[in-house]
Amino acid sequence: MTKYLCFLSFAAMFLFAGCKKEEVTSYSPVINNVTDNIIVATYTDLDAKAQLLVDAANALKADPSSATNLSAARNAWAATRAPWESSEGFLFGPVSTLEIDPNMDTWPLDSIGVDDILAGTDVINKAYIDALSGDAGTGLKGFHAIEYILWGSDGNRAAGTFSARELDYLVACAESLKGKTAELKEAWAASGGNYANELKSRGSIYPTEKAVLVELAEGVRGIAGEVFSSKIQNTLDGLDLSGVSGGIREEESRFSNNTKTDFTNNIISIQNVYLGTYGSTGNGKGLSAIVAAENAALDTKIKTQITEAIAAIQAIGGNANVTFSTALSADRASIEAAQLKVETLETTLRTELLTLISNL
Amino acid sequence: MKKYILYSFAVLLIFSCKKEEIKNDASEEFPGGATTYNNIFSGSFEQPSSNLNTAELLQHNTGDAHFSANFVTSPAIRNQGLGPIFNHISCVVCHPKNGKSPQPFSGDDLKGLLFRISVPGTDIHGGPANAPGFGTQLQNKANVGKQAEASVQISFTETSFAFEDGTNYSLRKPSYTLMNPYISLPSNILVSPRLGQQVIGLGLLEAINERDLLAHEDISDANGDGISGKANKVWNPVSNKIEVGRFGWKAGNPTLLLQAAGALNQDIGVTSHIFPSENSFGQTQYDGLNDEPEVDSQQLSDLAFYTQTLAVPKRRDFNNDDVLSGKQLFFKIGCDKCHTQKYITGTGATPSVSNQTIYPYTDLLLHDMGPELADNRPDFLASGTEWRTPPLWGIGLTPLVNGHSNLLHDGRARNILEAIMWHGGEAENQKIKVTKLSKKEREQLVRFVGSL
Repeated sequence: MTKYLCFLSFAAMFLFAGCKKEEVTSYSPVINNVTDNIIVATYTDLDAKAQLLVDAANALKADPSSATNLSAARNAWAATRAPWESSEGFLFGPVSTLEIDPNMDTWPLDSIGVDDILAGTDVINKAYIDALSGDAGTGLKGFHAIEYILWGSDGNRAAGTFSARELDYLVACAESLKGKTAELKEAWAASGGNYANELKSRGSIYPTEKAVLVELAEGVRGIAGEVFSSKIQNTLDGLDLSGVSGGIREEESRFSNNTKTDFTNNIISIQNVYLGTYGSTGNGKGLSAIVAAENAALDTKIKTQITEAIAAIQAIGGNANVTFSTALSADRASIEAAQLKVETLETTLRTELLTLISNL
Repeated sequence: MKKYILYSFAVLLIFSCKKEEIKNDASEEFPGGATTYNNIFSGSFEQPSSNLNTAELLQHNTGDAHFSANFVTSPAIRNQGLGPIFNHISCVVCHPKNGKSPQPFSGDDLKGLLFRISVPGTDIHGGPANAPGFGTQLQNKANVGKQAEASVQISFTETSFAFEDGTNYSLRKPSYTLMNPYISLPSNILVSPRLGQQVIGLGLLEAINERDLLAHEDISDANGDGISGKANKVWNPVSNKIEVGRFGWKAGNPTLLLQAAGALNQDIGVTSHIFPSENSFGQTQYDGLNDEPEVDSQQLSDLAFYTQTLAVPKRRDFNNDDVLSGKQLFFKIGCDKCHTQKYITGTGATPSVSNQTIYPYTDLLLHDMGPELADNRPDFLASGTEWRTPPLWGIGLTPLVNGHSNLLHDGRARNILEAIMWHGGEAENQKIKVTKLSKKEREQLVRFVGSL
C-alpha cells in the first residue's frame, strides 16, 4: 500500500508539473538595464540639463547684451532638448499619465498667444507659466516657447534686443520646464513614485516580464511611426502661409534649426532601448540581447536599419549646414529618402520585432 | 487495488488541471473579433482595427489627426471654430490615449468631466428641454473676451460599508455645485455629470443588429428577475427619425456620426452640417461670424470613421484559474443579465466591424441603477435613475493606459470593486450577492472583470 501511495505521489507531482507552463528565461537583466540605465538615466540627465538651462536663462537675463550669454543659453536649450528627444522611444507611464509631455513639448507653438502675453501687463513668473496648463495653455510654454524667445521666429535674434518681459518669459518658461523634468524624474525614482518598480517587479500594471518587453517594443515602434508618418509627413504635406510647398509651419524646432538633431535623437532613443546603452551608461543588455538569441539575422537587420535611418536624417539637404527648412524647398528628395528609411525601420519593428516579442 | 489506482488518477487529474472545469471559447481571447489588437501596452486603446485595408487605414489615420487636433479661435488658417464657449479644445483631452481621465478633485480642472443640463419637460422630439440661456450642456470655458456659462465646485462625502465577512469598504460620492453663472441659472435646473468614455470597439457596438438589442428588452420585467432592460429611443436629425440609442452614458446617441458631430458642437463649439448652429446661438457669447459649418462633412465622417475603426485589445490571462473562477461567479451572480457577453455583429459602417463575434459585456440598454447613482435628469426614454450598461471590454487596462482605475459616469468609483458596490436598483440583488462573497471570491470576480 505504502508503495502504491509513493507511486501515486510521484504521479501526482508529474501531473502538476505537466499542467504548468514550461519554465521560461527571465528577461529581468534586460528590463532592469533598460529601466535604470536608459529610462531613468535619460530622465536624470534631462533634469540636470534643465537646471543648466535655468541657470543660463538667468545669466542672459542678468546681462542680455552679452552675445556669449545668448550663445550659452542656446546651447543649454539644445543640451536639454537632446535627452528629451531621446526619451520619446518610451513615452509611457508618468510622462503621459501626469500630462508632462504636452506641458513641455507642444508643437506648433502658439506664437501669437505668446506675443499677446508679452504685449500685455500680466506679471510673468514661474507660477504664471505653470498655470497655463491643459488646453490652449500648453501651446504657450515649454521647449518651443523658450526656443522662440532665444532664436526669434526668423532664427537669428541678436543679443541686446530682448525686452524685459521677454527675459521674464524666458526664465519663467525655463523654470516651469525644470519643474516638469523634476516631476518626471521623481515619478520614476525609488524615493518618489517609483514607476521604475512597475517595470522591474511584477504587479498589476505589468503582470509579466513579456508585458514590459511589449511596452518597450511598442514604444520604439511608436516613435519610428511618429517620425515618418507625422513629424516628417506633416512638413511635406503642409502649405505655409504664402502657399509655398513645404509646411515650414509644421517643422518642429525650426526656430533653432534643430529639426534634424531632434529627429536623429528620436531614432537614437530607439537605438538606446535596443542596444541597452545610454551614452556611457548601460551594460548593453537591451532588446537586441533577446532578439539576437532568437533570430540573429533580424538583430543585424534592425541594427543596420537604425544606423541607416540616422545617417539618412543627417544627410537631409546634403550636408550638416543645410537646414531642414531649406531642404523643404531645395532638396525634398533627401527628406523623402530619410522618411523612407524610418518607415522601413518602423515596418521591421512592427512586423518582425513585435511578432518575436509577442511570441516569447 | 488496480481499481483504486485508477480512481486516484481520475481524482488527481480533476484536481491538477482545474482549467478544464470551466469552459472558455477560444474566441473569447479576442473580444473584438478580427479587429482585436494583440499587444497589451499603454497604447492599447489607440490601435487601428487589425483587419483594415490600406485605404481604410489611411482614412483612420486622417480621422486620428482630427481626433488629436487642437481647435483654435476663428478666424484661423486651420482647425478654426473653437467656442466661443466650450468644454475642451480637442477630443483627446477628454479621451486621453482614447481612454478616460480620472474623477476631477476640483472644479478648476474638470479634466474629462462635463455636465449635461436641462429643465423638467421635453423638447419637440422628446429629448431634454433646454435650460433657458444655457442649452443642454454647460460650457465652462470661453474664448478670450467671452464669458463661460458657469464654473463648478466639487465636494465629496465618504461612506463606510462592510462585506459580510467583516471587511470594510468605502464609497466616495461627489456633489457638484454650479457657481458664477453668466446669467441666473433656472431654479429648476437638472444637472448630469458625464465623464468622457473610452473609445475602443465602438464601431462593433454600432454594428450589433437592432433586433439583437431589442431581444434583451424586458421593459415590464415579464420574467420577474428584477431586471427590466429598455432601449432608449432618441431623435436622429440626420434621418429625421426616432432611433434606438446606443452611445453615451444614457444611450442618447444612435450613431457614431451623430456622437462625433454632437461632441464637436457641444464640447468644442465646432459646427458641422449636422449641427450647424453654435452651442451659444441666442446667447450673449454668440460670435455672429456666420462661418458655419466649421468642419466639412469629409472631416466629420473621417472623425466618425476613426471611432468606428479602433481595435479592442486582446484579453489578458483569459485562461488563468482565478480569472475562470471569477467568470463563473460573474455568471452565477447574474452580472451577465445586463453585461451581455456576446454578439455576432450585423453589417456595420465598414466591413471590418461586420459579422464579427464580439464579447463587449453590455446590452446597451437602460437600467434603473438606484437613487445613489441617479442623476435625476431624464434623457429621452431614460429616467433620472436609469443608465446605459457600459461595455466592460478594456476595463482592466485603464491603470496601464491612464494611470488610474476610476469608473462610472463621473469617475466616482476608485476601482472595479467599488464600481460593483455602487450598483443599486435593478442590480441591488446582484450587489447583495457580492457582499456575501469571500475575500478570495471577490478578488476572483474583480480579476475576471479586469481581464476583459
